[in-house]
Amino acid sequence: MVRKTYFFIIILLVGSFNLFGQTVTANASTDKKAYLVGDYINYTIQIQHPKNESIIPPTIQDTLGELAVIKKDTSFDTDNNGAITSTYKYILSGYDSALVLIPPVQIQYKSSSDTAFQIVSTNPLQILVSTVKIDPNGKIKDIKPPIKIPLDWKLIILWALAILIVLIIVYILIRRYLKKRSLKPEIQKIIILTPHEVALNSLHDLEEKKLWQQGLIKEYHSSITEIIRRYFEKRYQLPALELTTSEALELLKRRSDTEVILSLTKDFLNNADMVKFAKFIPLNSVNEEMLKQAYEIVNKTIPTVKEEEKPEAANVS
Amino acid sequence: MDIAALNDKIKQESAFVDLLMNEISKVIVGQKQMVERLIVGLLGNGHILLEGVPGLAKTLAIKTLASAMKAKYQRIQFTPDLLPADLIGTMIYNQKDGNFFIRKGPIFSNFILADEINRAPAKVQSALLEAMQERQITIGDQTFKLEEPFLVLATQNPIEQEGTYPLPEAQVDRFMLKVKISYPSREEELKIMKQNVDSVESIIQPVITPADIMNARKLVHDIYVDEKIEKYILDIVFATRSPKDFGLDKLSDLISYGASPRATINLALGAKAMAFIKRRGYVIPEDVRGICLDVLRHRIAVTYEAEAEELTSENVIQEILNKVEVP
Repeated sequence: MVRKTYFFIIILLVGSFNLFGQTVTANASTDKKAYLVGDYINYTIQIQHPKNESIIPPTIQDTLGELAVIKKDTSFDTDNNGAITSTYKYILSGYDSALVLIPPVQIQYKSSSDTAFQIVSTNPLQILVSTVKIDPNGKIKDIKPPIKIPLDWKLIILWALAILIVLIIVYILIRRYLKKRSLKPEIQKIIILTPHEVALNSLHDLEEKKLWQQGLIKEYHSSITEIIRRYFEKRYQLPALELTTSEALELLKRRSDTEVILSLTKDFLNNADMVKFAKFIPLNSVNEEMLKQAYEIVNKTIPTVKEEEKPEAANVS
Repeated sequence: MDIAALNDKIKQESAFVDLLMNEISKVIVGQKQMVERLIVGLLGNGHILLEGVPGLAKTLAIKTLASAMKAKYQRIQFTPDLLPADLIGTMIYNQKDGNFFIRKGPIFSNFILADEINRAPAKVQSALLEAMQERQITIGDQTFKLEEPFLVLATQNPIEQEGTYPLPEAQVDRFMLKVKISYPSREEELKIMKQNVDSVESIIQPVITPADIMNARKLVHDIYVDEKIEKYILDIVFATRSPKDFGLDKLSDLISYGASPRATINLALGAKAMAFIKRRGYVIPEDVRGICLDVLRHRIAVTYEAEAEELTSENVIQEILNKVEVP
């Protein structure tokens, strides 16, 4: 009977060994116990387990208790003679000043012979998050100056190289263009005519058109007065094309060098106005006379050599 | 119509213009431009808005014109409490026979001086402006044609703006001309002083009749406007609307809105009347330019930018006239 009792006790001890001999442990730690609001809290979970035990890494979302998870930092395993230590590091931060409890984190594991998962929890931690102490009696401090961003030399060199390349390309293109141009020199001759030369040429052209002879009397009178008005614009710097006959005459009257043509111009413009605006049909002799008068107006007002600043023909290359 | 014949006829028929101006000049010293514009208004069948400080003989001018024409004249002082009925008339109950009868208002005249038109509220202004446009008045169920010639001369005082009702743009457009009167010259003022201090009062003799004006109007309509002049008028009006098309880029930011088609009509009519006054049977560019400022100054609105630069519609018109090529 006694032997039976000992055997039962031995069997019971051997059987319960499996229950109390937990081989997986999880430990949580922080780098400090007290932080300021917004400080980074380095939170580490270390799980020790045999090689044949498989671990499901802890799943921590955006928050852990009252702390915000900034990022999952690193995770690695270390082998110490068959005992594996899996380390998971997180960066947390707290934004309220308080005594904060970091709750236990549950880790699932199972051995290769088991089908069901078992759970092991980390130890809870308590840390203090506090605000910066304000000294009401202290001096008011100025705001910090802007932080100087260090020069990124790599980027500067890269930009300088790009600009240099562009400049070289532009230089090559300009050189090529100038070389081409120098091969084909283009000489443009611009002849600047004096106002009276322009007017006399225009009158000559008008004469050759023979407008009134073709019955285009109104057009003839419009053209001939336009030539003379344009001549006045250039010769006397009057806005004659934008002035009425009386206004143009009034301005001419104010000049001393127009006295010789004043009466002639008055007749000339008034006659043309009659044709232009009053359907007046002049005799052929009047039409011929108009051209003579126009030539006379121009010829009588050709500037003398002294006052003339004759522009020379210019060569522009 | 043969223009030479028309020219001769107008030379003959327009002789009254000199007579009329001479008669008016017995009382009005200087202000030749204002008197000329009054005749343009009469010949062009339009109305005139007169702007000038008090004491420049606005009332006297129109009164003298009425006397020289043997026409009926009324002066209506526009005040804030004026009612449309005070102007056009109303129906009055006759207790004797128990019927309503119509009492015509002062508007039933040939010449109306609407003094300080901007002092009356909008309803009175619109009653007058409607009569000006329609040339008829309806009181109760009866419509009365207004006697011809019918000329409204409205005045505005430019220096007192408090408590006034400025005429809306649409209403101002109904005036054919807006004439600005300035102070007389030193010599003219001396003449005015002597004339008024002397005890001798000039008596105005009627030199023409309203019928003469009606005949003259027919002739004015016959005055020849060449297509070159028509194009010139259109160029000026269109330059107020789209200055960029005429090389006036700097004006595009200064004009809020340009002249209406009514401006084109009145510019042509005004130019014809000017040609008549100058005793011509055809219009020349001088006629258009002569009347242009008075026809357009109230029909162009300038922007705030222009106001900030102290530029008026007159500056804008002058700029346009300097740029648009004369035919």
